[in-house]
Amino acid sequence: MGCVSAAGTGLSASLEKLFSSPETPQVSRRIADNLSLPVFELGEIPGAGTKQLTGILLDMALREALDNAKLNRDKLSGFRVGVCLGTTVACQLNALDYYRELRAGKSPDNAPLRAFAGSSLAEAVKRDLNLSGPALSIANACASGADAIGLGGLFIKNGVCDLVIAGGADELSLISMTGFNSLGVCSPAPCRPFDAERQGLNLGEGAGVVILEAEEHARRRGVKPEIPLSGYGSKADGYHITAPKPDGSGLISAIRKALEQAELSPRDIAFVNAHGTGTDSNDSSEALALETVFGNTIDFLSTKRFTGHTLGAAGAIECIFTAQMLMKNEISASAGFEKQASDMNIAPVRKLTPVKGAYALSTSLAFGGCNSALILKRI
Amino acid sequence: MFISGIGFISGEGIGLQALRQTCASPVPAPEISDEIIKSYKFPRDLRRADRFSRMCMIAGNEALRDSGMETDNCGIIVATALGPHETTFSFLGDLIDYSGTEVSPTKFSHSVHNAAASYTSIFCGIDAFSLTVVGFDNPWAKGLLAAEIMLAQEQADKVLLIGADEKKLLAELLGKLDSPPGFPRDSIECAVGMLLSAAETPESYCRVSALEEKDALIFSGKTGTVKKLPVSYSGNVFFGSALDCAVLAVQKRLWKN
Repeated sequence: MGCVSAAGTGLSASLEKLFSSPETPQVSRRIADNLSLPVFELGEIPGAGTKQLTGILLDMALREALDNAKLNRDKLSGFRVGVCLGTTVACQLNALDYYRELRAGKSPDNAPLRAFAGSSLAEAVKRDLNLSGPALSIANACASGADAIGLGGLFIKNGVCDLVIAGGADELSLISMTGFNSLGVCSPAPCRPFDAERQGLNLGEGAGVVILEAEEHARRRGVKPEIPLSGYGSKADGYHITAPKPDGSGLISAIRKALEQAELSPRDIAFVNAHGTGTDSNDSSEALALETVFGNTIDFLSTKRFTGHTLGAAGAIECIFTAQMLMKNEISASAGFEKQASDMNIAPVRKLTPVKGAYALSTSLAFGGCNSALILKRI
Repeated sequence: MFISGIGFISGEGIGLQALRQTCASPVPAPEISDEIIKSYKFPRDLRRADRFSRMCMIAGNEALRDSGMETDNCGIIVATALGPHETTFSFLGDLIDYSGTEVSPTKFSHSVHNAAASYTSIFCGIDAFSLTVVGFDNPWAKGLLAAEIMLAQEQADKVLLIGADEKKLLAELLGKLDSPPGFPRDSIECAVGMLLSAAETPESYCRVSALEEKDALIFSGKTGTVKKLPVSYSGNVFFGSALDCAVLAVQKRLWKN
């Protein structure tokens, strides 16, 4: 595993931060948006300006994940390696200055166009590492990272690949900032997932990468598997282009599919790392789904107060945080939560809580009515 | 898995006849006219869908109709190289013309790549799962691969796979790039829908597999087997492979009959 976000660069820094106080999101220093939105922006990024930022963030997480899996480019060459990576920003040509010149009838330098042409995340990783397996970029909005990991797991289960590089990456952009603001879902203050006085989300940026392989394959190459991906479930709401179904039925079905695949019952799940964006519609729908499946005593939290909403990276980063907390055997307080919301019957954990079981769930909801659930197991 | 329904829209029209005309014509109509798109009736609550989403809805719904199958336990996959790029550019235009606080929330939500899958799932009543696959290196073949894996792992009984790309400004700009990756120059726009099912039905065209052989698609029917290498930029469209697959499937049914 490897990750980078406002919570930290690398697994250990991120985990340490998750068990301390979150930073306060600030107005972007990099993007002139005139909106004064607080965001979780990364500071100095090595290599920034040399290529698309999303690709740089992905490289950072990928390097750590490969190191932790005791792999490198040479070692990968002996295996059929697939790539499944989620993103939202990297699949669009968002070059505002380039478009402004085009519209004005000028002939701008095609550098942004060339960069875009080579920027498909999965294809770029396949090319850079000279891999032989399939390379899929998944654009499922805010569930992209989770679906990329879920699909990658199915690649392994189906014997399509020996190894899969899976995860997600996204950078802050003017488009997502102005777009989410236009939808009225951005908070003017630090986000407060599941809280009575939540005002919306804060955007963020980052990347998360996991290396997936069959347990037997890992052991054959002398590596102890860290954490099994036990189940994946995905469900479409078929309801609305931006809002989740208020009764949570899409997420409920996704969770039940994941439980079924993992051959588990709801009581086997020790805790849930929820999508928990801090918006009215997400949090109320998600809380209802969790209550319906697990009852009102389930331990759950949101880590968005540490990272912001990292869009296509969120599902991957949160899957990794879930794994890290499972391995640490405790979960942190759900930062930003103070007061019970009247539209929910359950509340996230308020303090450091021991993990009472071997399985945990990470949930993701997205535009387009996408709901995804990943179940992880502590060995 | 089996190709059990095919839907199609291009500048030549909607349906299998338009598919035949598109492939037979030495110079097929490069763009889908507004008239063709407007000829298709959508429910009131979906009328705000942008052009790219409408292309997907039409191809997808036609594939479903062709299959005669219900949408219970059916998933959807949209595969695209450029997605709704015209809507993205329109959103950028608003950012230039107005301030960041005056942009359209509808345009923003339509510019998200999975909006088309969302609209189509609502239009067709699909809810098993929704996936949008993007990339320049043959997203159609990757969509087929993802569909086959989803079916093999029992995430659904059927998958509606749609390949679509518009021929608008971004496609034309990429076509003019004189260095690799060599995007298609004289592209046409179209959308291909295929209803893929785990089980064979009387309406099935043929069997197709992206898993049986590495980097190849295998089509098989009663009259034989065809191996097709998924070329990145086949002929004049990003979805050359999608077109080829649809034609192969139609041919297979003819052979079968």
